[in-house]
Amino acid sequence: MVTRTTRRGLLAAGAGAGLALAGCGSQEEEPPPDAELLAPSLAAALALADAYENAGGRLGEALAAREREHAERLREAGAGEGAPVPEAPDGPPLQAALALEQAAMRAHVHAAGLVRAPAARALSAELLADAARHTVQLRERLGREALTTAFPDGRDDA
Amino acid sequence: MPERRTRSEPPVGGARLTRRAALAAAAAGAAGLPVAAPARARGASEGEALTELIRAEEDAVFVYSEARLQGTAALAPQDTQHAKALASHLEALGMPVPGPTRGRDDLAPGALAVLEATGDRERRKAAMDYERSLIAGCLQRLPRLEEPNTVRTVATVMASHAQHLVLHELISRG
Repeated sequence: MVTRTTRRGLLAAGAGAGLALAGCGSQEEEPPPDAELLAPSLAAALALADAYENAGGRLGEALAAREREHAERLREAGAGEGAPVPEAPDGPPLQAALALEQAAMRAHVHAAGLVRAPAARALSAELLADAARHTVQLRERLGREALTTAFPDGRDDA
Repeated sequence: MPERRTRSEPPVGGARLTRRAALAAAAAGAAGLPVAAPARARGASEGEALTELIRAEEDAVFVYSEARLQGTAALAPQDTQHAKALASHLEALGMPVPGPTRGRDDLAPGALAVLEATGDRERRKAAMDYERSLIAGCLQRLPRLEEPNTVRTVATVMASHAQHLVLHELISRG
């Protein structure tokens, strides 16, 4: 979970992601620069690349490559480095990866609503969609129900 | 193509041109009525984008209710939720909400292709193409959205269709 203190108010706003009726008292505040908003997405992509490399296998290798591609796209979009890295829980590698995907989705959703550059908005949405795909693939491997919500934003149960 | 019903009519504006009234006027402009340029510029594009997205979701509800594809029972209910969430944003703009798709004559070509495909394999392939078109539809409309929560809703709807697509892919691989 991304927990940078200076962005608490905005993260609270991000917690309403995906809910059409969510109130958002922080919207009038000036959001941080795009580089800062995209930084948690980059940290999550790098953590996921490591997690999938550790998981190994065809799926792990494919998704590790995909996450490295995400990281590259985020850097090209100007994402800042050094955001807190989401922690993977102990347990089976794919279970840990699923929890990291959820954290990544929360970061992407938060950024999507606030970044200013249209390309950065599109990138955040695309990364969210890709992470949502990965969660279905992981759930299928873990023998779980594939679809858990109509609004995959990383807040449904991993 | 028959005109679709709307669930609500634009609010009747008073003498003062509120944001809501301006948006309703902008909607009228889309129907060919003359509207002052500033009214169209403020939020009208967002409203039009949301209207298009709701129609797409209503089409998807109809398609998955009719298609009876194995393993996809959750899709129509989820698409219904998408339409409702998008509608709440559109209503906040004071614009009329498109009603449900009532028949095949209402469907966009990509949606109709799913129902016209013969055989499970062809229908599944058409459904995957259809989900790709829904994802692209969300992505293409993101630049027209203004409110952060609206952007987030559309982004999560797009992500949901990405999940629907991978579900089709997993089922088709057996």
